[in-house]
Amino acid sequence: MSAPLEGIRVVDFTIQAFGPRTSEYLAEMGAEVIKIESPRGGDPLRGVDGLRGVPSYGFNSYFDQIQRGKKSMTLDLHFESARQAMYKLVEDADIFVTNLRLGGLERLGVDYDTLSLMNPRLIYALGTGWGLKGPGRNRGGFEVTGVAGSGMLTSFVERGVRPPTWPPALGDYIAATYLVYGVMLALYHRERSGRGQLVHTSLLGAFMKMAACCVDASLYANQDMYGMSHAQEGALYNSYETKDNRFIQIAVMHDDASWAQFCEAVGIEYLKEDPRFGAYEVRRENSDALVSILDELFLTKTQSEWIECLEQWQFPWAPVRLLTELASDPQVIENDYLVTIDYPGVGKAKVVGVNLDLSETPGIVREQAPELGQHTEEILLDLGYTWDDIIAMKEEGAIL
Amino acid sequence: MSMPLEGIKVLDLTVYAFGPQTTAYLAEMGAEVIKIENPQTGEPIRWIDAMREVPVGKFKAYFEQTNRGKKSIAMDLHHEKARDVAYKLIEKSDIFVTNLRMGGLERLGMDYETLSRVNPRLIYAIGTGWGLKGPARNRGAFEATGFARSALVSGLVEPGSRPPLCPPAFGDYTAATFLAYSIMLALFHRERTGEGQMVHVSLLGACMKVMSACIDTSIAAGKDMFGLPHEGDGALYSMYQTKDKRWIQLAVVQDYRGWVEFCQAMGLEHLNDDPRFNSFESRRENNVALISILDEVFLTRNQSEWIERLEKYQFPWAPVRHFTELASDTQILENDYIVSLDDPEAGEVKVVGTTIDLSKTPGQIRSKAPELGQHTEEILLELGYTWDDIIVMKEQSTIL
Repeated sequence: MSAPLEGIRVVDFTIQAFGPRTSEYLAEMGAEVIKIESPRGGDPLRGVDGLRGVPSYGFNSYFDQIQRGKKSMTLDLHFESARQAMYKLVEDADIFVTNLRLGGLERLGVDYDTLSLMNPRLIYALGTGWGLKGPGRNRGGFEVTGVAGSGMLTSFVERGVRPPTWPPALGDYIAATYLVYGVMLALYHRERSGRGQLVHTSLLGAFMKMAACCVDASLYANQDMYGMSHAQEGALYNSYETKDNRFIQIAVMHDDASWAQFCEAVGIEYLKEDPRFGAYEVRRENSDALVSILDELFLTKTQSEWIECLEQWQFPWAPVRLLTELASDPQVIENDYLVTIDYPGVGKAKVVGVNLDLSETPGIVREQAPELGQHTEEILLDLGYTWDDIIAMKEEGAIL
Repeated sequence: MSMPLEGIKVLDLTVYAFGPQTTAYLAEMGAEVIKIENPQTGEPIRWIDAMREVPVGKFKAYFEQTNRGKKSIAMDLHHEKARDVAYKLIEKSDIFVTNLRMGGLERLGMDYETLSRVNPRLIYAIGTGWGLKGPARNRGAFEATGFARSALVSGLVEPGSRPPLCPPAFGDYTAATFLAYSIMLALFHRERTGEGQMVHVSLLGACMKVMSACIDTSIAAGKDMFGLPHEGDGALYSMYQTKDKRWIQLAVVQDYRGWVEFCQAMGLEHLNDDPRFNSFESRRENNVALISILDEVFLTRNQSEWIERLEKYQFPWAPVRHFTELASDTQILENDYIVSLDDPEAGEVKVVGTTIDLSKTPGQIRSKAPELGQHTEEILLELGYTWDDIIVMKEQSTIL
């Protein structure tokens, strides 16, 4: 079995998380990805020493997971020699991925117009904060600006309440998933037509897409969708606190058969036929009352006791996990949603796997991320540069 | 300009949001999508009358979003004749997409083994709740269970707090994006080799993939990452309340070199040279003091006044929007992130666009979702069935 993108070459001119994750998806699927970094410091994420109060332990897990299996080459595109090397790479590449700002790309001579002239078959994938047009097109963007600007953040909470702090990289990775879908559309089109093109999405656009059902419904009704309080939310699609201050999420269907099953599962059979809850319509009417009953009920057992009690039931429910607990979740392990990687000098680490299954051409989680500029010389030699050329470029500072 | 998936035929046996959004992505890009619906129940989302208190009205935004541009064939796959129709359609299809439970698919004869024998070039795409293996593989799931068990929601709140309910369909659409990407990988592979395959994504796996920065870091450190209180955030990467109880999100990264510019934007010029704040290190040390200063400043103006004032600055910031405001946001309109559609019943409606730009083969938001079984007869006639056959099938309730 081969990976689906074997033989595809990607030039990665990305920083932070949105761009790097996009090309990491391609690397997992067998593409050769050459990451171009500034000789002065490289990708800013190389220096991250912790996330949200959780220190890096042994390896920079954040940087690593979106760079692994790539090659790193340093090039300072302010130097003509470096720019020429970049162009040589692009001539032979299938895909170029970037999330630098538009103005910077033009100044460095790696904008779409320039590169597509050089290689008309090139797929030029661009991630921005705010889109290709409009007054905000040159403004910086980070994931939270997309989440905030799309309206999504307000629907996590009740009206007027401070929205939650956003988990690191969650937004970037979602936008990257959308961009890489666009890349594959373009690659498929090129396979059929021979033509490359520009593929673009923004953090704002990607988040509006993920919130599209809330956006469309709110616009039509001219009424904003907010989060709802625990008491207001449907009793059977809600989370309940357990004895040990943990939570169980239930997502039981509205139908009466599911209700009956649920009553049996949690030991409230006596409510099955209760006129307040027996039929769907009355359950909906008396949702608050049911929420209070379930609040009390779930407090009688710890989360792990509830897991044991619910394990055999096939209606939708889940424990609200903590991140570290995933490593011992049998469902996670059996599906290879976490895989073990061996880090030289660190030992074994568990990391999130490919998490999409392709029966004939599965992806793979490859070895760790490259050191800054680890492959610069190798790549230049492949392009036909001599050692003399390489030394000259080092001396002027175009490469590390 | 043509669309990238023109000529591609998709058979859609999906319900709710995860599966339907996957094929909606393909429909936007030009694929012909035939949706199989049960004649008795139809797609359950057809009947939703409100979401989180936002009423549906004449325009079923939620259903339209995930089903527009598709054809509907209403047939009951419990009947042998309907199954024959499905197999005939499979012979001519490139892609089959489903998110029914695996047990049900086997009972209906629509599992991967059966369909790949009918058409070895078929790409069989399946979305599940929990993965193809493991003790929960047959359990039902909705996005909330994926958010819970992947620990995504734990990353949104402080330890011990009740996790928020995520915006409707956000998780389904995220997982659908990942599945649509997988389909494109398989389609590309088939174009090069002629080989079809099964592709699979689960809600659990997709949520873990987009949370992987937090997961990998937490597992490596053996310490869970949670949401932070306002004072725990970086002062320049936080959300501030305005005079009118709205919010402005700042997303200025730590090594930002434009402190003086930032002070000017905020009207805090007197802090230009303040040693507590004028370098990255000192700002980090005096984070809490800076947050209280910014808390006070932001409360002096309404959100719209802040937008006006900040508009010209290119550092990353965003208003925390409500959904209904998106339709008048210049940035959104100029990028066609919201487009107008003509709905036969509701008139002009505004909906989220494709929000992904393909310069040579753009997608298109097509109006409108089909009525239940709108294309049943048309599709059967194309397959070579006669009107007599169709009448018999109707009499037997095989079709609607």
